[in-house]
Amino acid sequence: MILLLQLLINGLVQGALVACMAVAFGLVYRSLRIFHIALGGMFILVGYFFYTFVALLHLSTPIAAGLTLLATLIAGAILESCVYYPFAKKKSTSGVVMLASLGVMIIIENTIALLFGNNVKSISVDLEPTYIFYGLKVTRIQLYEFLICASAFVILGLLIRKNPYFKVAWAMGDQPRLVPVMGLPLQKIRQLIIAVSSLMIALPAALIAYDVGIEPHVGMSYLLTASVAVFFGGIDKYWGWGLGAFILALCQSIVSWKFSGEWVSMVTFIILIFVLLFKPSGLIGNSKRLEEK
Amino acid sequence: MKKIIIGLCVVVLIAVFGGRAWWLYQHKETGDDIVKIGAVLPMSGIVSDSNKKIVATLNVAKDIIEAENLLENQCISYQLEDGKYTVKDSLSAFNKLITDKPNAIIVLGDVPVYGLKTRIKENKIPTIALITGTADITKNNPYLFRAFHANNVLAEKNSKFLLDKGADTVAILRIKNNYGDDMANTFIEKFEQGGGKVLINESYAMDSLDVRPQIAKILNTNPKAVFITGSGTGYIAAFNQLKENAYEGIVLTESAIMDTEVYSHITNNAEGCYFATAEYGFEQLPTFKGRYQKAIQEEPDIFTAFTLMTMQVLTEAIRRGGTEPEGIRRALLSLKDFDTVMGKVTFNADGELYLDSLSIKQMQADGTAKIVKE
Repeated sequence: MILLLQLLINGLVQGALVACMAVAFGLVYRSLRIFHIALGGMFILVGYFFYTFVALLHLSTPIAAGLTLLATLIAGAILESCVYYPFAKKKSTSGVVMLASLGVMIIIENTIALLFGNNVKSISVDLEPTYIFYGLKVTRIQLYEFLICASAFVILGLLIRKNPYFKVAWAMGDQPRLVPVMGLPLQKIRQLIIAVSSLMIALPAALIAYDVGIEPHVGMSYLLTASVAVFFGGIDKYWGWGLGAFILALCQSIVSWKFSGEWVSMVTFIILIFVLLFKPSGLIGNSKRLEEK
Repeated sequence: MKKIIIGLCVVVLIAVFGGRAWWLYQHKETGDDIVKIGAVLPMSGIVSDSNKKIVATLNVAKDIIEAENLLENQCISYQLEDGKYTVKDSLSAFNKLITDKPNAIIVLGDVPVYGLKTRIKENKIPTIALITGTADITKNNPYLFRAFHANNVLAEKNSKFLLDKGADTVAILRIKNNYGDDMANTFIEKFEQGGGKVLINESYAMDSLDVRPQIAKILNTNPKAVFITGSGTGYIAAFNQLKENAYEGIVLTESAIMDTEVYSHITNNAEGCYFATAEYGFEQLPTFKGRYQKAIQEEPDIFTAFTLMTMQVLTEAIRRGGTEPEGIRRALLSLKDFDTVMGKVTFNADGELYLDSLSIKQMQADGTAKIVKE
């Protein structure tokens, strides 16, 4: 029983991290209709920014964290202005943009491998304090991961519901052509979405890098988990992304418990295929009207 | 004006590339005085960083062999191909290598060697399986020779050590590949033959950064010892996350812990763990250590030593048997108690390496290892 509870706690922490990543992916996919593969590259960039500031430049962790967020915002802005926006202006198809995004991801991955090598980089090798509650162990960094990511997820969810800019950004996914027609600044809204997405990937990526280290080839696996959480929860449902992330992480924990840790990534894809086949609108997504089908 | 600039650029480019091609042609290594050694190495991909020390060792060894004229006016020419530590890429790399008819081949790692063993047998070129532990991989393959500890030899040493210390229950955390599966299986066989019990046998992916679920399951079985085997980021995570859980039993591992890069990510979390390893020392080649350190600014470790040993046995085999692959193969089999940086080396009829020095060491707080059992 203790083992199951321990795995569920690990699953909750993992769920909070995946929820943030799902938001980072889902916002861009929902509002800009871009399958944001470059997010995997952004994840790696964040880890290496943080590693550079803490381990190489020896800055204090809070300053390094602040600089990492700033650097990630700049990287996101460059991605939008140099890749996504020019394609949008040319009215390129989503397939073309997805390929470009994949290209960006590969460029980032290879450049990082060239600069830092392929081995894992540890930001801290000191032992994290561990808290034990009735035999259940949680490290301090796991607590931070859960609290920071879960809070960021909830706060952004409330902002999307209340803030007019975010409301427009959300609505843009349904009718993108209406934005300029209504006299709204399309480019600024696009930048806002990319900036928020960058921040939402920066939080889990920096925390994961601090906790377990970073290497140049991890981006794709995190990206896939995040995208599965979005499709699982329902593309049009912000809270569904979180629900999808938590259920996915908990399912992975249960698989670790009953079978082996090596099969957890397989679960992700079984869930994806199951959802795409039997509930394409996601767990809490609305079913399409008959005339929409 | 624009046309003149473009024309000048073209002339400069032709001069540069033409000059380089001419230089390469003039310095091309050809003829009978060249010994071609091919190597399938992980030059890119997840384990490519470990390749740096292998290539540096090969280059320094070549310099020393040529400077000391150990091959009697013959010089070595390496052809290095990227196998990316996958079966598919290693096969492509091997196929490319053999078109150049190398005199001998070196293949690094269990996964590539496992994938290539049939091709090695078919092509009849003596091949050294460097840092390859899989038990019996050289059996029934007259052209394959091992340059590492065999897993079954380590398993025997490790299981006896644990049972002698009273640790009769063990949990295994292994890498998920040929090497990890074989290491775990040979260990289970020897350990259970000795009367011990393996409570759980969990695995991790080479690139995994989080093995907490596996560790939670392992600790739930309350083992007296945990055996961590493998490499990559998962191996590092296993140590750090086991320590995070304040595990107080015996931790047994393998010589991968002495890899300078791996240890830099684990440091104190490896203190007290045990591992079986062969002894090595570079006194025999006094200039090697300095040249190696100059080349990659790192201390040589056990993987450097095995690579250097490979070049020492190949050089001796070429001296004894000539440059023809069949001659090299026969000469390798004839080596008995040949002195190398790994001590006295002998290959048996199956190409298995016999080392006379295998001991159990314990990691100390300062990153050194102390012998606790000969």
